[in-house]
Amino acid sequence: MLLHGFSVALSGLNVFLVFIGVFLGTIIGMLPGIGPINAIAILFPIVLQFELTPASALIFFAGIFYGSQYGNSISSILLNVPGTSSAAVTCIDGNPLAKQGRAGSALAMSAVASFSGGVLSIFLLVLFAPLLSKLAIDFGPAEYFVLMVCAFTALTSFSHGSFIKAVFSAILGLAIATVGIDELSFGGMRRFTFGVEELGDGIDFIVVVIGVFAISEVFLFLSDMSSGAVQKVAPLKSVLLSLKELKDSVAGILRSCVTGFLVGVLPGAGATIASFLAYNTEKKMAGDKGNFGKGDLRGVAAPESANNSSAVGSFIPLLVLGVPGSETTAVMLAALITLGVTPGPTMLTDQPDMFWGVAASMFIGNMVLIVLNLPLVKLLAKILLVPRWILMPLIAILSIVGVYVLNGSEFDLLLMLIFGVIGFIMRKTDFPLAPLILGLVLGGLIEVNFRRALTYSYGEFSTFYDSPITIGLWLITLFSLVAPFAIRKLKNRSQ
Amino acid sequence: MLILSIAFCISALSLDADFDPVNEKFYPFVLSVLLILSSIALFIFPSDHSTTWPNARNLQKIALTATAILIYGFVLQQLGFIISASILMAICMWVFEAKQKWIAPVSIASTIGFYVVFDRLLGLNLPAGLLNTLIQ
Repeated sequence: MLLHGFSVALSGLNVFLVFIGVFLGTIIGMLPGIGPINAIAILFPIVLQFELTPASALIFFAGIFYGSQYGNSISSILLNVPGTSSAAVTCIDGNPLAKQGRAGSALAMSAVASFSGGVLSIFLLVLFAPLLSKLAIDFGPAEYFVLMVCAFTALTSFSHGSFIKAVFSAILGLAIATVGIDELSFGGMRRFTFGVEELGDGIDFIVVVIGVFAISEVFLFLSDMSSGAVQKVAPLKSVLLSLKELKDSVAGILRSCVTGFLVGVLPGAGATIASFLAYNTEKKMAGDKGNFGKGDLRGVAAPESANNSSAVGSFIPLLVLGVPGSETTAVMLAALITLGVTPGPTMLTDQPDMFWGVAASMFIGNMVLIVLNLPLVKLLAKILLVPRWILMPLIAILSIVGVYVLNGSEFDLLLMLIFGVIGFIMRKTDFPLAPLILGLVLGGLIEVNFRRALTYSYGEFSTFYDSPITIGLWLITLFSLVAPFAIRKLKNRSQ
Repeated sequence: MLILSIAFCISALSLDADFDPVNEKFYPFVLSVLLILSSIALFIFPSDHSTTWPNARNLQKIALTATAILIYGFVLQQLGFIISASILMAICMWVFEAKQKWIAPVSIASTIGFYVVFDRLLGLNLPAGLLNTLIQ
């Protein structure tokens, strides 16, 4: 099966896409303000324009995603500024190393750890995904509905910050998804369009994503701006590692890879939690012998291995169950839906090309990345010198171009701006954005499956809890609701 | 926020349909009830997060950027992409405190760059506007 995947991934176009994807991803990961989510949203119109197959599109997006995990570490180590939150842990030991003049070793270690974490987790993906998909064959609309509810609860209860805020954010996303013509009703009922013609087709997820992430990022930068702040890039000499340094880190890389993968599979947890967990484990295991916090290479290896393997792990819920667990995979799912893929638990059996192609392309992508990151890292690091006053305006222009070319509508620009302001306020007041995006993307599916299930059962609500699968899923939902509270209680008691 | 959720609930209820779970009215209604509940819950259990709002100067900058994007949307068709985006880019650069001498060349060059890549190479249409005869 994997061989078949390689035959998909090795076609000329797909190799090209992997290459471009990981290259762009590395740069995007390095730069602040433009994460993989923005990149995927802005590039989506181009993917549509070239009529890529769903498999090729996903290969491209996946490349951007895990490529950005590599790029992240470069800015963490050299600037002490993580490109995204998942690389924040890499700063702890990465930047002290750079200050000691060992930036090269830190970068080399991060590249090696990212690579090993990435490749090992692909093996885990190939191993576990088909097993999981066997469980998912008997899914009807009712089961799929409950599965999505389950994903939501897990996401909201595991996301950091206030639980109520996360719930509010998720439901707001679901509500935005109800705008437009209702597909199921007879004749197509218009809902919440307030007489505005342009809202008839609903609100495009790209418009919301770019507004809420990219435009609000520009606003956030402005709101925290103070004049005269100049950033220093640590000097970079040779990018080399000694054999001993490698040997010391191997065990940590392996452990962190498994941790990262498992955390990645969970909805809501993602790369940030994975890298924190991995770092803390290694720190505890090293004990007094470690130099953690002051510049230990193992402190770079652990989070880098973990965040790459969690990126791979997060593809399991997406590809096997058709339910994304993070904002990035949610945007990917929305893109796949637009490209005509029916998401759901049969995706792996219906679209074997996609799953195996993506898995195989990840091997290729990681090869490209290690080549990019070891010899070329000095060149790439130059990109960090791009000043903010050029970068942020460029992000603004890219966003408006991306939104405009999607439908060629000025109204979308207005919507994007509104969502930019909403996103800015939400981020300022600590409302998590991931549930909003998940709600927006899954909103249509949830409603369709909910109503379809009720239609099949002639309006009987018992259809949602009378099969063993639904009961099992409800139990998992309950568990994910209770678990974070229980863990907090236990922690408090032990202290 | 509570007001917003109640408004959503009322507009869900005013949808012209039978109140039947299978119909298009029930599901938004459930959502609106949940929204109201979570807004009330936020009032009862306020989170301990303290928000630092931007100072007046930065708030002005944000307002200026937002207005610039808004106006861009209105003039895009008439002026065309290159002119309106250059102006927008220039405003953004000014807001981000770019050096004066860089603003004009960088904003014009980058906009033309975007136009060539998106319109010409990728075939995604961007309005030509005033420069129509010049660049077609």
